[in-house]
Amino acid sequence: MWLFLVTEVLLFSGLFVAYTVIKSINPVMWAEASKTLDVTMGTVNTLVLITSSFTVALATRVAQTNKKGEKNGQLVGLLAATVLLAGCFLVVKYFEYSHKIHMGLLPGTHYFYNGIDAANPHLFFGVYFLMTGLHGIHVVIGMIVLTWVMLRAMKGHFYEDYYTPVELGGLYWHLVDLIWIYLFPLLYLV
Amino acid sequence: MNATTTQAAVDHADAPYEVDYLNCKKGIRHWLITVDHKRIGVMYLWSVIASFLLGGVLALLIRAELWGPGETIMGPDTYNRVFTLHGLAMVFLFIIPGIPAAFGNFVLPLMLGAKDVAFPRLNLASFYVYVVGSVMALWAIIAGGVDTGWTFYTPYSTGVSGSVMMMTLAAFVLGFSSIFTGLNFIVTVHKMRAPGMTWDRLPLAVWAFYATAIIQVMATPVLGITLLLLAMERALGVGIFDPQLGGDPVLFQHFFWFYSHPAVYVMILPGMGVMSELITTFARKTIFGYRAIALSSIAIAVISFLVWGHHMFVSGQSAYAGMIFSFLTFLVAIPSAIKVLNWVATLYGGSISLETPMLYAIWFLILFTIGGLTGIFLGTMGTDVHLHDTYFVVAHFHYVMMGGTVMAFFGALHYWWPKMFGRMYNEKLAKIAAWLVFIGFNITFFTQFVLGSRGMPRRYYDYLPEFETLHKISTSGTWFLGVAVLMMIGYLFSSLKKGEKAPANPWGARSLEWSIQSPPIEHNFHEIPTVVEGPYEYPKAGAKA
Amino acid sequence: MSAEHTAHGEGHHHHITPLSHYFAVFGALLVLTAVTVWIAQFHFGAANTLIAMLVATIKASLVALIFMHLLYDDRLNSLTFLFGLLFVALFFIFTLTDVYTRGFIDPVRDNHYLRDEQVAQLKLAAEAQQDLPAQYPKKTIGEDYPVAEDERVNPPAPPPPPAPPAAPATDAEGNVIAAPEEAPKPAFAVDPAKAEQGKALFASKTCAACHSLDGSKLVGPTMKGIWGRKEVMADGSEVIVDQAYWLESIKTPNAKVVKDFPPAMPVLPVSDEEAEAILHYVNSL
Repeated sequence: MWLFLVTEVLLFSGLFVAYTVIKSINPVMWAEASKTLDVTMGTVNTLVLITSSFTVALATRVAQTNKKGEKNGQLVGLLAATVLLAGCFLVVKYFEYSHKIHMGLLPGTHYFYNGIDAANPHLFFGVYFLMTGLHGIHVVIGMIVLTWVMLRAMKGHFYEDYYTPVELGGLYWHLVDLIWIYLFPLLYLV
Repeated sequence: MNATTTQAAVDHADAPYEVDYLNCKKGIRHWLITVDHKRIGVMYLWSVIASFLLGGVLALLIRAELWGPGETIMGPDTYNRVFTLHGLAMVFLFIIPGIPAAFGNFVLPLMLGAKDVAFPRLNLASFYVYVVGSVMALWAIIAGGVDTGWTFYTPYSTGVSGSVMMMTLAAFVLGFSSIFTGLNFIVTVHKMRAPGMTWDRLPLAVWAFYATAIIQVMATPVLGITLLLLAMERALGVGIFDPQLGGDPVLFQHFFWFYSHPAVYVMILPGMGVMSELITTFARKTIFGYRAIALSSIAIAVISFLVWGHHMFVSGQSAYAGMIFSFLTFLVAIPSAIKVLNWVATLYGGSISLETPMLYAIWFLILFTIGGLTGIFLGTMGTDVHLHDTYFVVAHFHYVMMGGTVMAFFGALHYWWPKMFGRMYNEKLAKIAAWLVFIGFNITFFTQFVLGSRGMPRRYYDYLPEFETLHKISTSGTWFLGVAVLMMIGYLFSSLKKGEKAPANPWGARSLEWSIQSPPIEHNFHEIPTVVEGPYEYPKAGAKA
Repeated sequence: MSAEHTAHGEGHHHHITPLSHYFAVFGALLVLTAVTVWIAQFHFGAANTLIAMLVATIKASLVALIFMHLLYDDRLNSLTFLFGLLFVALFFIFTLTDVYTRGFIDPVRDNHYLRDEQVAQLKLAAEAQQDLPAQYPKKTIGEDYPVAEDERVNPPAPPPPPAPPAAPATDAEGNVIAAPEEAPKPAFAVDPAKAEQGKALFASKTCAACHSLDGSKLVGPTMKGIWGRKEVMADGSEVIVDQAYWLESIKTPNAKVVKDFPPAMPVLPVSDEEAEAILHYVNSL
């Protein structure tokens, strides 16, 4: 599983390298374009993801201590909370996206916003949409996985000797959180 | 059976024949849903052979077109598509999955004394992902063709028409297959070793597969993101790689070669692993420098990630970076040379028997050494500027890829064929084919070294009249290769029906896969064997080991 | 994965982290998020990125070690993860080695944006050298005017237009090179209409991103007092800014780069008339 997580990290590393290079070529544009992002929304989303990571970590712990054959409402509740928080994240993201699309802050040749006083601002939004988009896809996958885990938890499948799906689903979800922890300051704050 | 029959083989010599994996559950349905690593390996084998034949036919067409200057049998656009397709088919569909997916799947668990790989279902998934990727690639070709070369360099690839998008996605999907196989192998090697199979008793092929898997797992995701970015670039015009939009085209090359240079070692490392097996088996002698060979595999895997910039000396990366990459490139030569020297040292004083797999092993030694040494010319920044994008480069990588990997593939094919299908092929025909391969290969590609150093640029459809003789020689060499491959298909297939039944251990090898019947039973081992000695403990006969 | 399967099959129990640890980590993550947002309001230059990354790394480590149990798990997992990060680092280091060292060895020829232009220039210089009048025997390559466009990169541009009546005579070709260093700055007669047009262009062509109008140093040299200014180039030669140099700098921005500035200016779609309008604008300030 960790090996798989490593492949995910490397997948994203490509985007981070692209980010660094493009930023170093267009530093001023970068700073200008970055200002158009809504820090509040970004912060809210960061908190949402951190909380969801927390709930899923607790879920793993609950599963670890659960006795065999018991249905555990706490476990289901925590997993449900995680999925719900993931949903919140996507909703906030949706508002951010629609706002940007509305303003014309679209990647590449679709870009038509004139308010940024620097060369090639479309590059920033290209990178922005690619990074958050790929991350968003991972959020969706994570939600699917966790929902599946939750359904199994409702049937009482997990207990102290068998909680691997909860653990692995959780690990995946933590990774999604980890990536966001880096994306947030890179895109919104710097 | 051989004079040096092993203890393990003796155990099974008089054991009654049991139902093997090939006919335990008959019917196409059982094959398609199998999770047996051997069946998956065999299915991979057929697929990669089919890809190899496709790529081979295209190669023959390319050379036929270059028979004379100007148009010979096809127009320039078709030519561009044909050589792109040749590259893509050979690289993504044949060489990368070739040895690890086909033979690795088959022998890795057998060598470790395991009943299967760690994740059998993931293994099957990787095969189907491979099939889907291949079909997508073929579709891309039929639907419009791709003429970017296998490297998809931007900005050309983002602007050109044709089904680049489909091909990109195909390569992306094939990447997944590669990652799955890699993950599977790493975990299998870590967790599924038989008792007593310590790290220093792993057959060297396993070490090589392990190193390959590391590269696949570490590098392929970057290919994934590269191709994804390329697709986005085409679809949305993001501009990260487009200088017109403020991007950096050289960045694409960094991305691409971060994957693709290590991928070159994905291609060659398993070949080296096979070599270690072949040489020691047919020299009947313990491998010289086991530890050095094993560690050099890992060293190659790691160093391969440090040198990608040598593909970019003339592409606009900074000269400073070029110097660093040039220096690091020489480092790769060290582990490679360690291997070659150890193989030669193993041969020294061994009782060498020149059966077909051994012939291929020797071709590998000769051709790979030439390929490797000419690589040093290209790794040197100064000479590379002259030789870059000439036939010298074409000849170089064909010596390494075909002279190395394909020879190892042929060697592996002949070596494990009896184990896989339980039949012996016609040794006499096989030897003739092996010689034809060697002769044809050298005629084809040695001339290309000469062509390249005289300035014939690669990829070109047309050429100056003074190159005509050399081109004609080169083209005629491909016919030898074509005939040899046809012969090979002929005698291998006829062996399936008419071949002599293969004993458990036809070559007198010592590693675990030869201790069980040919072909193996469905679950490989009745009980997991306990390993008490290394894989190369040949009785010391004649010369000292 | 198989590790966990077999481990659980044998009834092996993983370390169970106390609840208090989870809560402590959660709290720390919230605090650190607040810190990073708060710090971002201040401007420390490059240090901002560094601090943000540092905070992110602390957060990431907390998640990895406690939430993801790396701290208690099989060491192999940590090793795997670190190994992966090592490769990410390699990827970064080498790509950036290239990006940041372009122009390190030879500022012009070592940069793929510039090399093609330089080649064209050298050719032109070689031609020019042959028909030079005797009084200019020692001209160096960098001082030749006009500079040819590189046909492979840009479509051939029309030759610079004749100087408008408003422009001073000093901008005629070649005069500047011979101009004595002590010469007073030539005046520039501003055409208000053109200056107005130039103002719009200065914004829309994104000049302002790199060139200030108030004398401050951004990515490129300031436009304040640019006319007739003597600039020292990266190769040590000196140029006095005149019409020809102005046009050249816009058309082939990196042919001559002022010392201590990066050769970073892109080739922008600016016509000769537009370039001239911008010149009027910057001189009108």
